[in-house]
Amino acid sequence: MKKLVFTILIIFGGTNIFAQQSDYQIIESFNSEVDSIKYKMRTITSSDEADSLDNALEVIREKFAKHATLINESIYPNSYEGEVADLAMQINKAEERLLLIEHQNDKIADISSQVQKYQNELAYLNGYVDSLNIMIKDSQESEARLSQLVRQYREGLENRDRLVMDFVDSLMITHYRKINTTGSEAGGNSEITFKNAENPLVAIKKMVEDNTEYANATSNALTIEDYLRMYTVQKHFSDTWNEIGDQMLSVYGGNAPMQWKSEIESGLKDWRMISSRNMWKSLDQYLDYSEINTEAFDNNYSFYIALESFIKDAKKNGEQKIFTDEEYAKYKAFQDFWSQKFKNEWGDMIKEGEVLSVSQMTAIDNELSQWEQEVRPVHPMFLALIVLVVLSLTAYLFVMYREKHTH
Amino acid sequence: MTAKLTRSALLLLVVMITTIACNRSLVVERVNYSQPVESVITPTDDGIIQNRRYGITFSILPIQYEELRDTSNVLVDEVRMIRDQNGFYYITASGFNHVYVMKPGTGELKLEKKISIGDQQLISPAFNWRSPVVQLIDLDQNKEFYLNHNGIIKGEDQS
Repeated sequence: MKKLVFTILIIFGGTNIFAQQSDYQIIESFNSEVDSIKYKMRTITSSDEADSLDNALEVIREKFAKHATLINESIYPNSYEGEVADLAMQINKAEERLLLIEHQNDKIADISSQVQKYQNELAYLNGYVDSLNIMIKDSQESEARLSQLVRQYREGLENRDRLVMDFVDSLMITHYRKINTTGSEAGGNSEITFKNAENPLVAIKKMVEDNTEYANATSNALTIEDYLRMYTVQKHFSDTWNEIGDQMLSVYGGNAPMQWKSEIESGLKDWRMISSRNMWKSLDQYLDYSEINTEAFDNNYSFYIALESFIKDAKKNGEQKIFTDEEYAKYKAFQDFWSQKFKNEWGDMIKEGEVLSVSQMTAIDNELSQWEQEVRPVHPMFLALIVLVVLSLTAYLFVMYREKHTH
Repeated sequence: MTAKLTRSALLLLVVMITTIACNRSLVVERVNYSQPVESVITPTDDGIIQNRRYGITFSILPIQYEELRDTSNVLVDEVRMIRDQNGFYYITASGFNHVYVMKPGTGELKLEKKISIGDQQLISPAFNWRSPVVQLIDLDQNKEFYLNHNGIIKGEDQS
């Protein structure tokens, strides 16, 4: 016993040489500093702040390293090294996430400036087209001058539609890709807050409203090509929105995604209705002018049925009038429209706007081929050949008859 | 006859030895009860100390009475306690002049030693486990004592 006391006195000899420290306080201090870092980690908003936290963790690591054993015993089943490593990992993750968000914010700034650029260009074109339209309506000038104004007006509208297509292809798709990148790399926390003017949904809604207005303001100067193009632009815009709209709403819709959805989709519906009505009406007029008198149509299916009925009726008539060129002329008129205009000149827009589907066009092609066979006029050489055969046969029969009666 | 008696006696002896051997209690030796860090616990309004980490609950009032001669109210803000390797609890608090070494029994803590740390009351006491002894420090008064269940081994105001 005396020996033990002696040992202890040696070990702990020299009271007050070492600074007094409470183990409990060391543990409390460690826990408090770790908790403080955990709390700050939930509130940091920049990678610089994450850096500061990393430095603070390094200070904690150095400060408490000598008490590692004590801390391990106290916070079991956790450990000093485990706690510090876990914190370091969380800070790194937060820093990566914040760097990504900062990077995305730079991208958003770029995209916002693009939105602004598109809006400025569109506003310029709107003004240009509007002023031309007014000039055409009020024009008392010569035919040549009027024709020039109409050409400029149509070009202005075409440029405007091209700009809308560019907006859809570059801006909306860019946003979509950005959403996907942010969503997957930042652990799904991809909600982004925008100032109202920067929000792409504002630009989309404005573009839908503007286009609806333009589609509604019809002009005599416009042709079937213009209406087809407008219809195609609307279709492309709607298709893109249907594909990526929900994701854009979840990211940019803020507190009212359903309201945004309702407003944009209602606008798209109006735009589609007007552009569709204009296009079918214009196509109907074009066929009338081309003396292709089909039944009335106002949508994809009724248009297909009208064409099919027209061809079937024509085929039936053709069967009854084999030797007239009238039916063949009718066929040629339709053939010119179908091959030259519809499939060739308007082909891209017909395909993009799905005015007719590929299978419907194939069916019309087949019908057309049969129609041609029915109404193709007989070649003069073929008639001459028949006359020759009949004459030869008559002569032969006559000779045979004579020979029989002679003998 | 004698041989028969001898056999019976031997048989009886074997039975007795077997019985004694079976009744011997199992003892695990060299158990270390020490707690690495003291527990700092605020008593309830009824003076109950509940140490969830180490699983012990008791009333501080008998110890408070022993120290302050008063049980009308709970006068202790925080109780500091630690256990040494032999299983003795060391209990004190701010305002105390003593450390109470308590020996656990069946449903009880029994005073093993009341260690006086001098005339001056403890202001900011804290226990540290410094195997094989308990260190008591007073952070405010810069005092330091090394204790075991028999009393102060070394320190200021050694009694």
